[in-house]
Amino acid sequence: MLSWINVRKSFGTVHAVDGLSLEVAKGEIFGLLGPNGAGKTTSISMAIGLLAPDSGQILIGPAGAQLPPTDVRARAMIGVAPQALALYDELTGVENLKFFGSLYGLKGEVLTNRVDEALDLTGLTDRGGHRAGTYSGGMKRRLNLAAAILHRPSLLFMDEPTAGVDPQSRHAIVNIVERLKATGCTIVYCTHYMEEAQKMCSRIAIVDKGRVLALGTVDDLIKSSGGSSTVQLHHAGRQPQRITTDDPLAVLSAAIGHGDLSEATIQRPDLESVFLNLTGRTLRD
Amino acid sequence: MIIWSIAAKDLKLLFRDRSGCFFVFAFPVLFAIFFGMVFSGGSKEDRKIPVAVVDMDNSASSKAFVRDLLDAEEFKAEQVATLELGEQRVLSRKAAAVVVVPKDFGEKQKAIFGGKPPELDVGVDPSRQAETGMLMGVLQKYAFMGMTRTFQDPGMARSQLTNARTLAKLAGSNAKLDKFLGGMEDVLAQAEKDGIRTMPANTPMDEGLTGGKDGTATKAGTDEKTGQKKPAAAVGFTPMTISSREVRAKNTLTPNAFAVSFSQAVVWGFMGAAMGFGTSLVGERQRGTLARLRCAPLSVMQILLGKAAACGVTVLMVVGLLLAMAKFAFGVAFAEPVSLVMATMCGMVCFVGLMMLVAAASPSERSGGGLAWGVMMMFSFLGGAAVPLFVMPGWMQTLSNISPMKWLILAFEGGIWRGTAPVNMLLPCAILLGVGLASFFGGTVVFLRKRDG
Repeated sequence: MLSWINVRKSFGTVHAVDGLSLEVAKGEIFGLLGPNGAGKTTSISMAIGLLAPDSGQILIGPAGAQLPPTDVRARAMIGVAPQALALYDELTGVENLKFFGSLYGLKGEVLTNRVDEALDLTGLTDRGGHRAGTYSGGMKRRLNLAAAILHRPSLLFMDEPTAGVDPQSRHAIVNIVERLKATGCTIVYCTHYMEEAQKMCSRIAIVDKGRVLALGTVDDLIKSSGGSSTVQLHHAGRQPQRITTDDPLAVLSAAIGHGDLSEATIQRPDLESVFLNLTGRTLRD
Repeated sequence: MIIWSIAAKDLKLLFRDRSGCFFVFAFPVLFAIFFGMVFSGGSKEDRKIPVAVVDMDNSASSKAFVRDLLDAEEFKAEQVATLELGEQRVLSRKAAAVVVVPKDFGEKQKAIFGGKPPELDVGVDPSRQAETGMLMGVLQKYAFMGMTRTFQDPGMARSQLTNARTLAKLAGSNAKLDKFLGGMEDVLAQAEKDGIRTMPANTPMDEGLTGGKDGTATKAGTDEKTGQKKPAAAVGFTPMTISSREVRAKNTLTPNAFAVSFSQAVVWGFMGAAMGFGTSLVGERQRGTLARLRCAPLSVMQILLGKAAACGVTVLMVVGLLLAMAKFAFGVAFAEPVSLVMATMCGMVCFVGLMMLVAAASPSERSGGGLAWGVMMMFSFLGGAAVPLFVMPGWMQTLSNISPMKWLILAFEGGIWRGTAPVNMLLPCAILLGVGLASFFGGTVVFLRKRDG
């Protein structure tokens, strides 16, 4: 559905994207995970045609009918929920959606129905008649997403869709993404929140300094680069014991056999540890 | 300390915005230099009032008077053959006024102390009223010069005085005239005795004799109190009377001062609309909505034309409102509606194009606002929308040709009150269209170049 083929993009002496090659399959939620400045937004900006790559190629569409993102037919296929809120504060939620829908050729009853659907999906039906400028940050994020899905895109780019929103809105957005996945929409989900990526994404590319450091399912990545689990054992009257192991259940079973175990915790490797192992830094550095 | 921190931050933001800095610091300096150059007046040649002179009399006196006007240091005078040609010079703004020397000029000047003095007909450009007062004063000066020339010929002067004495006796007692004529006879006798052929400069010629209280001519022999016409002799002596009228197109139905002011106001309406939209594209970019527009299945040209259409419609609404007010609230009759439509449409294209160039070139909303304001102000001052062109030095009047404002004003004046025929609108309209299309094209190129910025 989407291919980055050896794509490079520099801004002055800064190599924002350095030989990126990725394939996103139809219907999957593909996560781009990396710290701020890793090149995620630049990669997405090139994929939606806002930036031209210095070299390499980006293609959008089903196999055999792929088009560059600058092609109008390719753009009709994609939806974008940009990181920066792209809304008109002076217009109401409904007016914003009607305008953005009209850009994709929607009109009349179809447009009205799509606007209603999008407002319902994002939980903004009650506020649709209010000016976007009066919305909370979370509501604006949801309206931003609603504007991206009005025309039912087959490929949706979501760039940090939960950045700076309250837990309620974050939960709502995650639910929306899962509902969109159920419709067969392909989603490129760009985030630096590993929990979201781990929960939603079929596959994840971990990027840093414009390069792909690792690519695969969450389990694959953890197995290959997550390192060992840590088991912490608390025995009565003794200092807590930390054991690093590839088989935490065996360690726990042995500890239970000793009979004086009062408490035990198993810390399995996650994407944070994958990133730490790959770069020596944490995602939030 | 906190206050200073806030102030320091704001100053830092200002200095980081180069184009913003330009409009804060450099623009006022340029503005001062501009006005300095305007009001320094330029060369002596630049300060001359352009006039067309028509000699309907072709007598020796009229020829001498016309010669005076052509040589006058205050005028850039040009003699034309007919009244129509003279009025055409005014209508085309090549002359501020047309001075018509009437058919009986020579005859009446022979008898300046009796009957009616010669009457000059001066047709002035209504948009150059500021020059009219000066023009009248200068004409009066040359009228007195003509009389001086008459009295330099002792024989003619003696004949004039004798004639005047006779007429004065017939008219009855007039102490002022008696005193004046007595003084003239004394001067003339002394000059003949001394063999001097030049009238002394301190001759009591204007002592209580001119029509107006301030020494200026009384318009067309009209009583200031009653407004009734009366003979020139009754209002006191003047070597010639001057009547002024506004030169307008023949098809102007109702001469109206608001026609001139609304022609100027329309230009400011164009500016306001264009300046408002000059920042809108930058606002879209900063708001992030431009990115969404560009991700949609639209071409760049569709986006830009959409913005241009909004600006164009606003311009049309502003112009429509102003013209409707002019017509229905102030009774302005439009001299040439077809030309007015041409001016509106071409002006719209011009300002939409300029707006697009400004918007595409502006890196931020603040600098966009400054740039739009600066460009429009520069064009308006240079084009005569704020300061009349005739007060500018000659080289600036020439430079004003680069300002679309000048052509816009010319086009609207043509449609509203000058009655410029559509065919004569082709030059200003072509310039406005050219500027608009070139600016739109330039704006599109800049916009496309900024895509990857």
